[in-house]
Amino acid sequence: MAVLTPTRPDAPTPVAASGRACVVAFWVVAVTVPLAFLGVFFAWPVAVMIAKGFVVDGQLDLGGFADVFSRPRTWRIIGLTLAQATLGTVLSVLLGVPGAYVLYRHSFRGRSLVRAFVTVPFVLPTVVVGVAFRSLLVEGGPLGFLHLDGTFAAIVAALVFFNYAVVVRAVGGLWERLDPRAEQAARALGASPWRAFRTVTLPALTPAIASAASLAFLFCATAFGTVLVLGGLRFGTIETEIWIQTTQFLDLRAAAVLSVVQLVVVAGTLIVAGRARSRRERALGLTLPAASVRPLRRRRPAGMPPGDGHALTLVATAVTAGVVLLLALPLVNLVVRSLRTADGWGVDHYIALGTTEGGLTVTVWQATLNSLRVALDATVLALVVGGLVALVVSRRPRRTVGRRAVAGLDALFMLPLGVSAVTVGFGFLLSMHHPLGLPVDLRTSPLLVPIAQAVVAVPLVVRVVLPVLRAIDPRLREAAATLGAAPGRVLRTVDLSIAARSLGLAVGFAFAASLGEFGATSFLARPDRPTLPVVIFRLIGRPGPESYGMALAASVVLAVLTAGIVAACERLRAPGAGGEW
Amino acid sequence: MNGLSVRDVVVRYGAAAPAVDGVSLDVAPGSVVALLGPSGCGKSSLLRAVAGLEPLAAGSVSWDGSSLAGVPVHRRGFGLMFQDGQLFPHRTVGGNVAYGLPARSGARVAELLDLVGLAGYEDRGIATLSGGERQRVALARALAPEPRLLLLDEPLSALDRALRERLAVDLRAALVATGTTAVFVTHDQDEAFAVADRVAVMSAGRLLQVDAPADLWVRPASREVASFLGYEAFVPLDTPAAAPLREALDVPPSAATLALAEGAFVVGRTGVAKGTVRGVSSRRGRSEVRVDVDGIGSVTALGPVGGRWSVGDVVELGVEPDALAVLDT
Repeated sequence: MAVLTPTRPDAPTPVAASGRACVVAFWVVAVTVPLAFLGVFFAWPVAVMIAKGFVVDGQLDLGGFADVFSRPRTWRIIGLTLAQATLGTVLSVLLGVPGAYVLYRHSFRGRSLVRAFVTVPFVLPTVVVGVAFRSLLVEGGPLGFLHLDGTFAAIVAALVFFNYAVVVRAVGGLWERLDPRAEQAARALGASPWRAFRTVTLPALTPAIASAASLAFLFCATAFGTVLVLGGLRFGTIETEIWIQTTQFLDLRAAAVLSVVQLVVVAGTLIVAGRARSRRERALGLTLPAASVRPLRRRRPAGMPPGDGHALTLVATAVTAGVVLLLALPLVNLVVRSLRTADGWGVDHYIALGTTEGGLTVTVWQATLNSLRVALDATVLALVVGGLVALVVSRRPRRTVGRRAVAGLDALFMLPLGVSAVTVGFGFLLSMHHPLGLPVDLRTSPLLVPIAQAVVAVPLVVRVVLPVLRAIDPRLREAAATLGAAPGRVLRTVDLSIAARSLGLAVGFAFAASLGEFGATSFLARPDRPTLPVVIFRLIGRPGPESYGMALAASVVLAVLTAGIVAACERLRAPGAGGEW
Repeated sequence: MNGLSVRDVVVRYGAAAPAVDGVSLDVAPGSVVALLGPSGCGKSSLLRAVAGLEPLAAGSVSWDGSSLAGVPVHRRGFGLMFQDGQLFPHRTVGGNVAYGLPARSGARVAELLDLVGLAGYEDRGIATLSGGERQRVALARALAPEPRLLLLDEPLSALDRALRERLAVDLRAALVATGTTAVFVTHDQDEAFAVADRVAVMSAGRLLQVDAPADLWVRPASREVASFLGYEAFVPLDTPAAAPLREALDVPPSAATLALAEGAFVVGRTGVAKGTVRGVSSRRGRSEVRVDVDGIGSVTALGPVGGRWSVGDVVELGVEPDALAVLDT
């Protein structure tokens, strides 16, 4: 846009028709591009996949439901999925709330390091989490004596490992800015520290906790890579079952039925999450983080009487310290084990990454390069689509119809977060031969994998950018308009300038999601161009200590790469600009 | 008609009673009009409607005789200053002031910051400013594009009283120095009187009276306006209790109503009436004495510094004619 000169016509001119047309055109594009993307690359493949199960010889046949639901295995898997997700979520919340209190309400040396560290498991590729836990629990591993390998407890532990950061970040982000005076008022009215927490602080945090819990539940219920690696044949989720039914038994009907079941579970969770989020927007007394943060002390500070809440802080600190150690255990063990060779210690496994040993088609380094290229494309796609969605959804139209449409769009773009990536991946294979009747075969396009990964990453981008855009006071835009800024300039100088501060984090999460994506990629990556998680899964599947050692080394490479990129991206953002995360 | 002309404007939010209900108002170029009224009376809604931020349910807003219907906010050339400034948090002080200016207008930014008493603040971050400094920056930013009309929405309400009173004087000076036409929304009559050439009193979405500050004080159009301005007791001119007040004003008895502001009675002067003390407080050293006067009711009389009275004392009261007004109705 050209340099703006203030318009000071002596007689007001009616608005140029082209100006308003531009604004309308922009919003039409902003709505259609994401909708078209979601329609072609998500709804269509999923519909094709599900139709495969229900349409027999051109006739709708819902017999699959009766058939699949009459199998005891189906009910066992659904029960397992819900039990895992519920347990994983409850534990994540119980451990995460004290963690949020210690890491966001207190200051101590190395706090930013610890905060960054607890985020690492969340961005780790699920396959890596699975490998790390196995190497810890397997016979002969440091925790082998617990005999947890291949048990339900191991899966739940891995899910908590992964989702702890979700709760800590979401709850901590709000807690940090919560005005402490409400709690102080309760104390002055005679409430004990615990009662003040229970009756004042906890209710204020409830929307954030509910929102984080529903996200954690979603991640747990649709966990794929971790469960596939850890669960073996005995345990699974609906998602792994879809994969098994599709690839092992070629039972598309069962896969389709399970996809629908998963959709119902996910939609239910999203509705709860949406309710929690909208309640979260109610007025809360918020303040600057600096106003509420206290130094963390082991001893009761001089002048603080006993019974003033120091014991609560100590308990929370002890719990958090324990959790941080437990989080570190699988990661440290992963690195240590990757250095263990047949005859002592060495970097042999890392050297082997440059070869095609273990039955690989390409070296691990080549796969790493593939992964990075794919992730770069996927991140750009996810940023464009997710950014547009966040922009549209952040608007608050005057009319009720408009507000409903915006809320609907918001919910719609959360779906890929929970719909089976396996369904999406297999659906791609079935539908991208001639998508929508177009004479192109996208199955051979190098863009296929990035597109599938972008579908998975879009909801993350939306969730990071949207709260930042929503937090912009509408009067800030009004102030810009009264200073003579046309709608385009308001968008650029207010919305984009402020959202740009959270963009680093959005890029990091999108990149991490893409690097670690396994469910869809396992179907779509061509044998000569596998990504790193696909290679790791292939290595684990092969017998022999050599391939296992290479899997460990490759997992370390992937973990370091992902954590490094997220850390670099997070450094780019302004403090406090992370929205819900 | 030159300047701003508002005709029969109605603003509605949903199905509720209109926030602004048929208001007409003219603002001549170069003058400052204050919209005065209690919170929720619709004065901010009227201001936002003039700015183009709220759609009109009925009526029209025009400038120099041509209608502004269909002219979007950014082309109206009307500046707007919010109660809490709404400075852009991601820009420096200089960046905020320069927002409405063409590129490379550093000299103009410096000039404006000088005008509001913040010379040299260009590179400061917004977060480092105090509340008063923020409002000064917001004023400089709003004045920068030389708006043909500046709309100020309770610009001083978020500040403490001493600062508010000082900034009201500075604001008036800045508006006069730049010859800016302005509409100023406030719920504080002292602020309205300090800043504006004319004051428009609003209540429940309607305009009750528009007058110069002095005229408004001397001749409130109705009991409602008078109560809002701080007149606290009302008494018909033809009652016996009003006799000493009639004498002080030198008016004959009539059916009109007499309004008494704080200080209409003064304790300790040659007494023309008697009152019973109900309570004593102090404001800036002077005593304010709540007294019950027969036939008039409870009023606030002023007393000398250091006066001592006890509840139940009967005191002699003199009359201060400047604190009396005769209402037409």
